[in-house]
Amino acid sequence: MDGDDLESEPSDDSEPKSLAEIFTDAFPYYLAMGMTYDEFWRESPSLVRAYRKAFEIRRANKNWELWQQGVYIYQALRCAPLAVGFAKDAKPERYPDRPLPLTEKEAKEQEEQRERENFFAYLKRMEAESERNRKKLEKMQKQEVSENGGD
Amino acid sequence: MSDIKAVNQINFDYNGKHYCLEYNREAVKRMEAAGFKPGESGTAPLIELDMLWAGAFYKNHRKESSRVIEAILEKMKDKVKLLEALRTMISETYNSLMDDEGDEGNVEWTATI
Repeated sequence: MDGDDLESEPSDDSEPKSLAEIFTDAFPYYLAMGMTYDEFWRESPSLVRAYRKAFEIRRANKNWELWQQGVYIYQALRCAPLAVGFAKDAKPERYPDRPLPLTEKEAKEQEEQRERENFFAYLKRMEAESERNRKKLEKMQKQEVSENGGD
Repeated sequence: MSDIKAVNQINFDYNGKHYCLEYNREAVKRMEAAGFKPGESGTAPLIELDMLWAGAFYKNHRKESSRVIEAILEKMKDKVKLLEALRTMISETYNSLMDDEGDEGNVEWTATI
């Protein structure tokens, strides 16, 4: 009966766990974090804090990698002709020509590199343009000389 | 003269030998198997001190004879503070699993033998 259950003595499960039991319960989690048997049971007890911190850092890094991989896949799908085919005037996007920057510093460096490349490309265009103009001028001068000589 | 640095270690020299007392989880497991119940209110402080003291030798000085261990304890002067330090040290084996605190909260204690 329910009443009997309520009045009965608490079971062994309700007794507080011993420290040894708490350690034994926690041990597999720290094994999963990369801790060895000796480190958990025989080394300084506070070592587990460093392992937890390291685990958090590893997890954050992994999360970042997965996010970045998702960005690449997203970009790749946007470049794919099949996906582009659904939209009438859509043009396939170019796949990034370099890895995505992971930090603001990297982003800034990539931006500066891009600006440098654009500037050199502009200089080359200017040089080519000036070469064309010079040749054009020479041609006109020759033409003028030959016309004056004919008089 | 000895330096007692709670929470993690107690360091001192005795008869020309350096001792570094600390707990690990294996020591606590063995202490419990031997009948020690941390935090139990019914335990007499002197019995608790004896068990905590002997258990603190397990990690680094497990081959030390019980005669020497008892002799050193006998010579320790401030036993109230010693008991407090040992309790804090043993609780670190448990607290380190539960919190994210660093070592900033450690208390330093100097005692004489």
